[in-house]
Amino acid sequence: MSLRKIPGGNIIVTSINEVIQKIANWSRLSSLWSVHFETGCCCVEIMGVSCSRYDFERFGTLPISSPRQNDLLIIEGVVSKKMAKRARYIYDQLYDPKYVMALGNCAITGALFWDSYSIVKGIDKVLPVDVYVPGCPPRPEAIIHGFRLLQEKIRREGLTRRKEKPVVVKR
Amino acid sequence: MMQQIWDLILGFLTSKYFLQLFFIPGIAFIGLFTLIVVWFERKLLARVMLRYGPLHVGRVAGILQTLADTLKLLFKEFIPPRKAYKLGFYLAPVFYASVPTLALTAIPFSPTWIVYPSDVGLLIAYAVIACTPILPIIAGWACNNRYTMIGGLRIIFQDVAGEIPLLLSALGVVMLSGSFNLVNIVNAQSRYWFILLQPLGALVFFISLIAMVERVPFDIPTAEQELVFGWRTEYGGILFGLTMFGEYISLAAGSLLFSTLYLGGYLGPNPFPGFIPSDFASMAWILLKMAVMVTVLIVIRGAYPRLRIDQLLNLGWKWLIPLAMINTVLTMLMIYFFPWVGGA
Amino acid sequence: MSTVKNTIRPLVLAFSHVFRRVFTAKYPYEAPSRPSRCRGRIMLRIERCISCGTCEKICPNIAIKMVKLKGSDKLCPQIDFGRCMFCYFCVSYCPAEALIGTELVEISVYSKEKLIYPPEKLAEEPKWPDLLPKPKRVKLRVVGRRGAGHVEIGRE
Repeated sequence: MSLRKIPGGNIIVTSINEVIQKIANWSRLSSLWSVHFETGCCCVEIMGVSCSRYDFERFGTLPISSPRQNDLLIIEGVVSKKMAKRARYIYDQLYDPKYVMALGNCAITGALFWDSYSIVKGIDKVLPVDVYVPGCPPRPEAIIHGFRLLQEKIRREGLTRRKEKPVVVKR
Repeated sequence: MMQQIWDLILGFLTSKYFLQLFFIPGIAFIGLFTLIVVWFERKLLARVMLRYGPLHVGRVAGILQTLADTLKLLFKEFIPPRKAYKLGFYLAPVFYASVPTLALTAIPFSPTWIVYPSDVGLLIAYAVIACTPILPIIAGWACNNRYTMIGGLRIIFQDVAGEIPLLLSALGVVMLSGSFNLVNIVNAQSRYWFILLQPLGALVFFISLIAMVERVPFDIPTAEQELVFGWRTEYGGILFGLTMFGEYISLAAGSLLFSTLYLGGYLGPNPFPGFIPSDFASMAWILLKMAVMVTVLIVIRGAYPRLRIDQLLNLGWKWLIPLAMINTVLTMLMIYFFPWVGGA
Repeated sequence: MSTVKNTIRPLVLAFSHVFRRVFTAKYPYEAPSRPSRCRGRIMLRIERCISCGTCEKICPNIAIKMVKLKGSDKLCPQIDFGRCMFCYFCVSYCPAEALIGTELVEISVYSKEKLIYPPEKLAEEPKWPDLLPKPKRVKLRVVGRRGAGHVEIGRE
C-alpha cells in the first residue's frame, strides 16, 4: 500500500483498490487450506509437519479433503504419466486463487527416476508451480520455509492472478 | 421537529426489537459466536493433540484466524457444476445459514428477553430443527454429484433416528414443568435443575442433539474419509462459508436448548442486584451455560472416532428411543409418588 | 459395564490433555536441534578440490556435473539440488574431503533453475535464510507429569 501525501496539504491519499488488495492478500496468505496429492514418501513428512512437533496449523493451514474449498495443492512425490493427468484434473477443480507447491525432488525433476520411461520429469511440465521445496524427502523445517516463501509471494501479488498458459497433457 | 425525529430514532435504537435484532440473539451475537467458536474449537482440538493450533495470524494466539478464513472465502470464486440445478445450488446454503437462526427466537435469554414469546416455544424450536435437514438434501441433489447425494440421503437416516428420541426425551421435562412454554420450563427449575431429576432423559437428549447438529462422532453426512466432504463437496468460496456458518448456528441453538431444558436456562444468582440489571445477569448465565456445553461438544469431537451409519441407526432405534420411553414412564411414576418435585 | 468405561475413558483422556504441556516447537522462531545425521545441502571447499571427478561418476542421480570455475581452468562439481537425493555418496567418496555435508535444509526457491548450484555458490557457507527470523535454539526435554516439551538451550 503506497501512501501518497499531497504537497502543501495534510491529506494522505491511498487508492481503495490497494487497500482491498492488501486485505485480500493478507487473508489469502493467512488461511491457505491445502489438498494433498500423495504419490510418494513425502506425504509422510507432511504428516510430520502437521503433527504436534512442528504443527503446520499455526500458520492457518487446514487439511480439507475436497479440492473445491482448497487454495494450495501440494504435489508430494513421484508423478507417473498416468497420474499427471489426474494431478491436472485436481488442479483444474481448485477454484481461483490457487497455488501449487512441489514437494520433494521427485516432484521437482523426477530425481531418482531420471531414466524412467513412465515418470514425468518435473511436475512443472503439467502444472504451474509456485514454490519448489527440495529434499528427499524434505525435512519439516524445509517445508515450513517453502511455505513462508509462498506466503511472501502472495503478499506481493496483485488482486487478480496472472494469466496462465493452458497446459496440454500428453497422453 | 428535529427534536421529535431525534427522539424517534433514539427510541428505535434503544427499543427492545432493535436490540434483539442486532445484539442478542441477533446479528452481533451469531456473528461473534461463529467467529469465536471456530477459533476456540481449533485451539481446543489442538490442545487435545498437544499442539498450539492457529498461532501466528493476528499476533495474539491466532485470534484473527477465523476472520482471515472468512475474508479469504469472500475473495474466492465459486462455480456451479455444469449440470447442476442452479437455483437449488445457490439458495440451499443461504437458507441453511439462515433457518437455524429462527430457533434462537424461541429461546428465553431472560424472563422478558425473548423474541417470540409463545406458549409452545419448545415446539417452535423443534419445528425449526426439523426444517434444517431438507436443505442439505436439496443441495445434495442440486449439485448433481454422487458424494453430495449420498451425503444428503444420510442426513435423512440420521435425522429420523435422532429426532424421535430428541422429542421423546424432552417429554419428561414438559411433564415435570407442565408446560411447553420455555419460560415456564426455566422457572420450574428454580429449586432443582432438571438434569438432576432427569439424568437419563438428559443423556438421551444430549446424544440425539449431537446427531441432530451433525458433529463428531455423528458427522456421518460429511464423513471426510468416505464421502469427499459429504453434501458440501461442490461448494467453494462464500457458499461453503455459509454452510459452515449454518452448522455453527445450529450448534449454538442446540446448546442453548439443552441449557434451557436441563441446566436451568437463565437462572442464576445476580452478584450485584442493584448495580447490574437482572436482564444482563440472566443473559450472562445462559451464555455461560452455553459456553460450557460448546466446550463439552468440542472435547467430544477430540475424543471419539466416527460411527458408521448402521451403528448410528442401531443406537438411535434400539437404544435411544426405548430409553426415552423408559424415561417418560419413570417421570410419570415420579410425579405420581412425589408430586412436589415438579414446578406445576 | 466395560462399554461405559470404554466410552468415558477417551473423554477423560482428551480433557486431561488440555492441561498438559504443549509439545510444539514454534519452528521459525524456535529451532529444535537436528539429529546428528541430518543431511542438508552439500558444501564445497574449492581449495581442497583436486578435480578428479569421482563425485560425478559416483552420483546415482546424475545430479553432479564438472564445470569450469569462473576465470580459471579448474574443474569443480556443480550440484543440482532438484535432482540430488542426499545419499552423500559424493561426500563419502571424495578423496580430498572437499565436499562436506551441512545441516541446512531451508533451500526452497521460486524457480527450478535456482536449485542448480555452481561451484562458487556451493562454496558459500550455509547461511540462515533472510526470510525467517533468527530462532532460539531449543531442545526436547521430558519432565514430570505435565509431559514433554521444548526448552531453550541454556535455560534448563
